[in-house]
Order: sequence, then C-alpha cells, then structure tokens
Amino acid sequence: MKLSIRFQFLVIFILMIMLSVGVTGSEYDGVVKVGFVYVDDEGNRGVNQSTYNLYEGAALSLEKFSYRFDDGTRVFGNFRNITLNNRNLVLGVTKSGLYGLTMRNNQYRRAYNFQGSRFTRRHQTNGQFWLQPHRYLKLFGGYGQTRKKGQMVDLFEPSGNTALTTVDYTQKYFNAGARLKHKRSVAELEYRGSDYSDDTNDANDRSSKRFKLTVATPLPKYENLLVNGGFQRFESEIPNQIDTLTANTVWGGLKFFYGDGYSLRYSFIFDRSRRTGDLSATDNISHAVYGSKLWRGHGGFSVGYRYKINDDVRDEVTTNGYFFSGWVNVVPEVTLKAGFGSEKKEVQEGRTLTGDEDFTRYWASAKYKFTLGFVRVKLANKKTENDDIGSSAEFTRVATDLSLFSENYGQLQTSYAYLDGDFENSGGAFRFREHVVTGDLLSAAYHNNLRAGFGGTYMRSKRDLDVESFLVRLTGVYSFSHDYKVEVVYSAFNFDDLADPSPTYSRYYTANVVEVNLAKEL
Amino acid sequence: MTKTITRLQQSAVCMVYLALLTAVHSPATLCQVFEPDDETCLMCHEEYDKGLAKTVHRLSSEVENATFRIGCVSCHEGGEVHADDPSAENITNPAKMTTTAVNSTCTQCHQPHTEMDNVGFDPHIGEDLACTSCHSIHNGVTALLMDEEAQFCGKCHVSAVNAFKKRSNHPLIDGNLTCLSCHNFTGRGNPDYGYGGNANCYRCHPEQSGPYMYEHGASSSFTTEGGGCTACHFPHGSPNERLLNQPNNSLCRQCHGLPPAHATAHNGEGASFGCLECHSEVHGSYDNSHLLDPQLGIKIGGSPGSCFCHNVGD
Repeated sequence: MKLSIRFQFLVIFILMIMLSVGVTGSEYDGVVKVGFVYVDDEGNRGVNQSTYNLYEGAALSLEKFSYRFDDGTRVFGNFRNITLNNRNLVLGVTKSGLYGLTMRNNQYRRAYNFQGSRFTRRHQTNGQFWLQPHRYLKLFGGYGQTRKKGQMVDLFEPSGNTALTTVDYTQKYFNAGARLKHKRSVAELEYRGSDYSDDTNDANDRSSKRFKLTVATPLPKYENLLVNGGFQRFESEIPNQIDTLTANTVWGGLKFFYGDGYSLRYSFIFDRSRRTGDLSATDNISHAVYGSKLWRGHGGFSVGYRYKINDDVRDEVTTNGYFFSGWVNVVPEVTLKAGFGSEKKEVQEGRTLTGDEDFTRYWASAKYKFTLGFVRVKLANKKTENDDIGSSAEFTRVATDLSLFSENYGQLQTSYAYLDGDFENSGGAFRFREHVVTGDLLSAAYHNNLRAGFGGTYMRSKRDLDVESFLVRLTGVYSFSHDYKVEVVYSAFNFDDLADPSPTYSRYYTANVVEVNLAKEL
Repeated sequence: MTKTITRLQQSAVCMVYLALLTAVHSPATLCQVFEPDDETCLMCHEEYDKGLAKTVHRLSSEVENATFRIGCVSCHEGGEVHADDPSAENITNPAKMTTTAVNSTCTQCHQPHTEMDNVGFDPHIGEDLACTSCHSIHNGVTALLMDEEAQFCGKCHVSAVNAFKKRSNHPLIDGNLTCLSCHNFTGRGNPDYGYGGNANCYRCHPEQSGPYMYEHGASSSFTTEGGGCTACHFPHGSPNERLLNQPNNSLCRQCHGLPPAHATAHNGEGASFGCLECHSEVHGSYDNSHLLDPQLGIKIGGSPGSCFCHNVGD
C-alpha cells in the first residue's frame, strides 16, 4: 500500500510538532529522522536485488527509541521508513522478570521483469509475548502472519518466454509454551501450529502441528555431568489431498566436564517419518561423540565422530564422519585456527541417485590483533565426490579482512575474498571464479562539525554468467545545535552481465540514490 | 523384522532416558544481600546506573517491587574492600577478566546455553568466547545483545556478511531479518544446526514446504537422506538467481547425470533444454513422480495430448 503524499506530510508535520515541544526528558532515548529518498535508475529492474525494496519519497523514522518508567517497565521501538513501502517496524514493552511483548511488521518486494512491474511483495507481521508468574515458571507464545502476493516469472523459462505465475497466499502461525527453570535445570513444553491458505488454488492449503518437550539438567551430586533430551511430534497435513506427513523425533545427550578443560559429549537422534498410506517408514538415526580440551586463553582442540543411518523403503544409507578442529594463541596477538572434516556416505541397500559420496573439508586461518584492530587471512576448501555418477565439485576460498578503529581518525573495515570452483559431471566440466571486495571507511573526527564516510562493495563472478556488480556509498554528516544532524548518503548501484547473450533482454542496471535526513537525538 | 525390533528397542531406551531426566532436579537459589549497597558505589561511579536502567540488570534498589535482586556487587566482587580502598585491583571488572572468569560470573544466575541447548557440537565453545563477546551488560538491547540487528555476529563471521552483498541474497541488509532469525543456536533442545533446518525456511516460504505426494528427495530432510533446502540454495547469498548453488542445469547435475533418452529425444534438443523447463515442480509434485510440469503438453506441443512420451499423469 503506497501512502499518499498528503498523508506523508501530515505524519511529518505531527512529528515536527513533537520535536518542537521538546521531548528531551532523560527517560527518553532515540533518534528521529525526517528526510527524502531520491531514486534515479535505468536498466533491468529484475536483476539487482539490492534495489528491489527501495522506494522514492518522504521518509520518516524513529530509531532505537526507548522510554523507561519508574517501576522498571521499558517501552522500546524501532520504526524505519514509516512512510515508505519498505517500512520496518518494531514495538515492544517489557519489565525484567515479569513480562515482555514484542511486535514486528515489515514487507519486502521482489521484482522479476525489466520494467519492475511484475513483482511479489511479502508482508510479515508477528507478535511474541512472555510472562513470568513465578521465578521458576515462564509462559510464552506468539502469533504471526506471512502474506505474499503478486506475479513472478518462472525460473529458467525458455528465452523470451515471459510466462507468469500468480502468487497469493497467507500463512498464519502460532505458538504457546511453558518453561520451568530451576538453577541449571530446565523443562520446556511447546506447541507450534501453522495454517497455509493459497488463494490461487485451494488444493494447496495445508496445516501443521508440532509438540515439543525438552528437558536438561545436571545430575544430582554430579554437577559436571549434564544430561538433556527431548521428544517432538510433527504433523503436516494437506486436507484436500488426504495426505499427512508425521514425524516423531527423540533426541538426547550428555556432557561431561572433567575439569582442567577436558570435556566429553555424546548425542543421539532418532526420527521416524511416515506418510499417509505408506506401508513403511523412513528412519533417521544419528550418534555423535566429541571430546575437547581447552587451555583457557592459550588454545584448544576438539575431535569428533558421527554415525548416521537413513533408511527408507527403497534404500539404506550410512554415513561415517570425522571432525577435528583446533586453535592456538602463539602469542597473545596472534591466533591460528585449523580444522578438518570428512564424511563418507555409503549406500548399503538399494540404490540412490547420487550413490556413494565422499565429502572432505579443511580450513585454516591466522588472525593478528593490534591496538587499532585486526587483520585475518583464511583458507577453506570443500570437496564432494560421487564416483557412482562421475560427479565431483571442489571449492577453494581465500579471504582476508582488515578492521581498524581509531577514535581520532575513524574506522575502516575491508575484506577481499577469492573463490575458485571446479565441477565435473556427465554433462561436462567447468570452472568458475569469483572475487568479492568490500570496504567501509567512516571518519570519526569532526572537522567544523562535519563527518565524512566512504564505502562500497565490488563483486565479479564468472560462472556461466559473467556478472559484475558494485555499490559505492558516500556519507556526509553535519552536526549543529547540540542534538541535530543533517545526514546525506549518496549510493551508486551498478549491475552488469558481461556475457549477456540477448541485447533485447538486457541484464544491465544502474541506479543513483540520494537519501537526505534531518536527525534529532531525543 | 530384526531391524524393526532394533528400532523399537532404541525408542524404548530413549523414552526411559527421557523419563529419568524429568525425575531429577537441583536445589533452589537464595537471595543475595548486597554489601556495600548500590548508593555507595554510585557516589563515585556516577551515571553507571543509567545504562543499566534500560536493561534487565536494572539495579533492584531503583525499582519498586523488584522481582529479583541485582546490585553492583552481583557482578563486581570485592566491593567492601574497594569501598575502603578504591583502587582497581580491589574489585573485579568483567570487562578485563578472562573468559572463564567472565562466564563464571554470568552463570551465577544464568544458565549457559553452551551447556544445555545443543545436543551436538557447538563451535562457540571451542572458540573460547566469553558471554560478553555477544552480550553488552551495561548497554545491551533485547536479551542484552550488543545490538538488535545482531551485527556483532559479523565481527567473526566476515565471509557470511559478505555473502549478503551478492547478487541474490536474503534481505539482511534491508533489515527484514537478522542472523538470529534463522540461527537460533540458543534454542532449547535444538538437536542439530542442520537437522530439521527446513523448518527455518518454511516459516517465510511455506509454499515450498510440502508435504507432496511426490517429494523431491534432495529438498526433504524428513523422509530422505537429502540435505533439505540448502542442498540447492545458499541461504546467505549467491551470484546465481534465487540463491541457487549452481547456475542453470549445473544445479541439477550436482546429483543427476544426463539421462540417455534426453540426449536423443527431440532430435537431440532434449539435452539442450533447461531441466526445469519440463521438471518445473522441483520442490515436489502432487501429480507426477518425475516432478514434471502439469502443463507440459500445452507448453511444448500446444495441447495436453501432444506430449505423449511423457505420461504427465504418471
């Protein structure tokens, strides 16, 4: 729903009156912003996600608002872009140890075609509350609604085909539960439900129910031994298809803290899922055990093993996994970390599409901390091999990031990542490379009440597409009259598919966005 | 049959285990007496109560009918000595303490989530993180987190933050969600980060949740060995359309080879189609075990009957 210009100005007018009467009591906190967003763009509105949810018009925000009463009750809120369609609203009230209520509302637009005229919009509204009638008992619950409406273009449509799918559904979800907590012991019971209603086709309507019980406690007289477990029953039903999925899950575990930084953990999961009319069920079973040693402040390592079984009517698959990770502070300023994991999935009975699978992952990083910040270098590799179908995929990622903070000069955060991938399968082989550079610089020192910032992101991805995108952002802040600021943010967005095969369906997009705000700290 | 009995035995053991858990509990905590009182502390440390007043740690001496007692010395030990000899060495300051000491202070009242919430492996334990790595005691917001948007996660998870700047991404930067919208790692009894992860996705994307008469194995973590939504989608961000792991047919060929009939069908054109042009019901189908488009006949040949090789009603 687009608000009229008249309404926008009315809201701004009311706000200015509020400001003029001086809501400056010490019980208040927050920032009021009044301003305007200018958008000048051209090209394909369906390709650049960063600007899907951007709107031009008068903007009003009340950010990080907080008001406290003498009895400890606190009202808080965060209302961004109240007058625009990308509004994001949070309102809550709470009193420590007694109750809390938080409500949220936001919406998000996703564009699909060149003109941006075909889009879907998702509205989300929800509220959550908790109430503590006794120090050991907490009741909680909530209700929410997700609504999505609009037209979307199907994925991978043949070139030039602009067939549309209409989307119009509402999902309502709710939960309620109780938690008993006494020292380190907890028991929690929760019910969650949802109703999905598709206005384009009633046959898709469905509902779900979920009951969950969780218990955790240290054993009496053995405080270093913690045990926990739970049970969940989940049902998802399509009434018009007379089809129901039911899953019963039991899990549990124990954690033993031996002292001197040694610990041992074990966990199990048992899950049985069944469909209406199925003569057999699917079982998922998992056992995992981990051992850790920690030298506080100096280093530590963990070693783990996990065994999983997936068994359904057609096949049975087992997985053996091994994990290792460790870290060490060579000197207080330098931290080295490394890890390795391997999983082998084997088809014991029957046949699956992917067959046996080997998965390995390793990573290592080095971080140097100094007075002004830190610099970090990281290497990661993942490899998946499915010999039965002649498929393999390997990713290698090298990244570095730098973070600097100086009270005198400002802050700088920058990172660079390079990703290299190799794929092989029966259809052939190909390689892709990806570069992502991001950076943000914001001056801290006011010079004649002026503060400036510069930031941006550059990404180049070469797969079957050859995509380049960047964002450049310039920020200026001028402070005056103690609590007032004028903020100006200029952003330039650019997206280009350099391998664009079709000049008639251009995948080029550029936008210049200027946001001007008058801000007052309450 | 043997397998079924084994499963039943496992179920029985699990249920007995749960029953035992519910039967045990620990003794109650006692109220504290504060010495020195808050007023004494605030004589020198002016304004320190202002930030606390916005948090759950508001000093109980400033609250009418406080539901529980919190004072400066609840977290800062050595107050009595410090009041007589006000040097920094005479009192503890969690901001300057070791991880162990910080966590010990917090767990006097709070149950650490690393102890009980995850059955499996929690990497945050191995990282030697203190409670104060994510929580700001004097100036925190909801749950005393450093900020409502959970931007503190990005201090360590830099690569994850960068992923949200890619071509298709979840609207984290737009403010529609935060890291904690999906990563509820403190959730009670969450058995595993990955297992049942689809439930996270279905909350906002219910249209793909199923159940379907014909499930796509990869997308269902309940009924198959598939990895769930993340088998095909990068949840943070991707250079491909709609958060997909791989572009176009490469996505499907992560698991599927090119079936031989496709290479010869339609004078060889069958191999050049996009997989999803025909197998459009990729999340699951109510009509067809091959996840074919219910309108495939019309789409290709102009009428339902013209696509006779593909039994759409199969």
